[in-house]
Amino acid sequence: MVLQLIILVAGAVVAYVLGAGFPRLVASRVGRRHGITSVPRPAWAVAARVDTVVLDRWGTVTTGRQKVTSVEPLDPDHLRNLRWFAGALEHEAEGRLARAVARLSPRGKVADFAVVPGSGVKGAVDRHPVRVGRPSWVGMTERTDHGTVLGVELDGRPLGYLVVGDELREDASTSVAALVAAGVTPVLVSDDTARNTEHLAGACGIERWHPEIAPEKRERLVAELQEQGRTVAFASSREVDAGVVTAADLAVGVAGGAARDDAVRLETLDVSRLGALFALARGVVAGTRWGRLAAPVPAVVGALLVALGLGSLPLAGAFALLCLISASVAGAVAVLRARNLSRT
Amino acid sequence: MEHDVTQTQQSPGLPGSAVWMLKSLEGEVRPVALSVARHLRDGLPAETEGFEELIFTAVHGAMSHFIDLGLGRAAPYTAIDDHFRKVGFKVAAMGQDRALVDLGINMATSELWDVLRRRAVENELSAAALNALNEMMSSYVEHLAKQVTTGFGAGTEARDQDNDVARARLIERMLSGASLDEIEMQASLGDWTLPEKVTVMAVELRDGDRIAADALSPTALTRRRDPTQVVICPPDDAEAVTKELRAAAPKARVSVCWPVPPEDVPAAWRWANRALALVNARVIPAKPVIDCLAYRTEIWLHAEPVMRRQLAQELLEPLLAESANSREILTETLLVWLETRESAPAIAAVLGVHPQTIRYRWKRINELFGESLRDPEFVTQLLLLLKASVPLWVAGDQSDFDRYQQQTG
Repeated sequence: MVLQLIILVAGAVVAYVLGAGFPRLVASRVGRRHGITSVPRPAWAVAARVDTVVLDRWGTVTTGRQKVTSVEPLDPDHLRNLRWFAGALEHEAEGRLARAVARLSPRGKVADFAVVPGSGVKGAVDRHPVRVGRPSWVGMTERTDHGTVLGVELDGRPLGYLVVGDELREDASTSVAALVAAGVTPVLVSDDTARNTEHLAGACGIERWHPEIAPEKRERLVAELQEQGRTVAFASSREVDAGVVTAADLAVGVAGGAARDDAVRLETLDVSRLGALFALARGVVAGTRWGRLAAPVPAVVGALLVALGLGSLPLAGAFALLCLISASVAGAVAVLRARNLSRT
Repeated sequence: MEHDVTQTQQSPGLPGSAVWMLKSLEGEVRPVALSVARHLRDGLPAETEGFEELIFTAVHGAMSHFIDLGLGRAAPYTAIDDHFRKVGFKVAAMGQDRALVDLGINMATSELWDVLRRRAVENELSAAALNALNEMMSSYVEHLAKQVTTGFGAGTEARDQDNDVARARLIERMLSGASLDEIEMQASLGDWTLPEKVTVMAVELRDGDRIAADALSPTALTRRRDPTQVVICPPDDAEAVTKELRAAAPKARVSVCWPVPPEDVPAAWRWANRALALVNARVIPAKPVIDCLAYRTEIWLHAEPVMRRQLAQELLEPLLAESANSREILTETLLVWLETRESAPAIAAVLGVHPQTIRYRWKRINELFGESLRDPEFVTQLLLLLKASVPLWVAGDQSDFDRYQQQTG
């Protein structure tokens, strides 16, 4: 009888201990399928507590790329010429903005390419002199569109305007809404102008935003949020944000990117993926709790049977095993439920 | 008759004042003769190289002899007559016309008479004395002209016996556009078989070089003729002759015209030289041997450079406001389109650019020229003009436009 009770107690203890780890195993497995590459063990608990996430503009609500949102030739007949000459020239340049314009056309024969700091780029496409840059630099009127407005000059004559803006993720606004619904407040920080940042925040339903924010200001922003009693996650793939990431309660970076060792790493910083992370983390916490609650139940039942003289060693072993199973199932169900809830 | 006048002549009985004036001229014979010889060398339309000494000797001797006669001295004609016969002989041997000698005598006589007249005015010579002097001079010049005629006849006879001289004359006749009959006659005198067609070459030599006739096949005629050296041969021998020319003068550039009838040699010679000029203007690629047939259009279109320039300024006026780079690009594209009438991708392939670049250029061309491009006459003129001019502009010669801009300010 004593031996049977020892087996039952041992089964309950083991199930209690292992039950805490099983939800993490399930969450990690489920998370990998959703692009959550790695989550350090302590990070699950922190992630479950996060109620504010600071989102860097690049890669969270946007794809991390820019796109040409408007092609406006001064003469409508020059639409294709505007796309071709500006695109061909920008193939020689570097940066998100250049890549966005370059996607307008295939590569061409470019000579004498040069970057004019603060103004734009210039060169000769098929021997035609072309300049792409600030409208005033190419003798055109400045405009106030959302995004970056570029003037294009060909053969010494103004050809038209290009407007380049952020490429918003298709599900950005629904993902942001889901985050808010889950009690996580998104805060957008951007290296763009106030006008463009406000526009971007509005487009994806974020109420709080900070434009042209330098790394040290971002760090102060995180501190202020923490002082307000918030648990802050910071999602950024930019190396300049390393200091901010350190200050945050939870750092979220991209796999292979520069982030602190205990940072959560995702394939991309897609805001829907962040929502999944927080939901899974909450599932892990709940699963751990439920697993620990469920773990001793079969042992208690087994002990009652032993006390009634119905016990046996094989039965005690079976109930000990049942402790493990019930802890695991309870933890797993909690995790999976949390993931399912996050989708809604 | 000449035998009579070669004897010592009596004094013509000039008035004393004229005799006195002639005597005063004795010391100035040499400088005046030198001046006359120099003026003949500069003024005659033919080479007098190796000939100056003979001219000077003849003029000097004639002046001295004339003064001796005027002063009534014993002055045999023999040496003077011999000089002037030699002059006639040499001119004939060179293959030149008799008219050249007459021109020379007229120039010399005119200059010497001017000297006498000036001196007569200085010495207040009477009109009668001057007339007497004039008569004496006229009869003296007439006598000398007869000696030249005698020498020229002998020279012509000797020349006709000399193959080289006859061939040199044949080249001159062909280049000067002589009739076929005359060319045939000269060819037979030079023992040269006149083919139905001939190939004319212009050889551009460095540093005043010449290619000797014996460096080429016997069927090739050659002679230095500014601005190049001319070579004429039967078309079948053209290739071999070209190789011989390249071997004789490796640095020379040979412009080979297509075969032409002998009476068209002057035109062929002009074309071959124009091809060389177009090579120097970078319109035609600078190869050692220029096949004129391949550049017939360019040779034709550059026949009238002034007209071409005026046409460029007139037809291409819409382009004058463009930059040199834009002008070059647009005209190059326009020329390819006029030549091929192909689609944008095909023209782009020819010019090595993107099809959209061609569409842009075509739009610009239409903006600049508008309805003119639908006028067949305008288009034809434009095609010819661009064919002739675009290579010049591409080679960097913007003088057509610079000149226009200077004119219009």
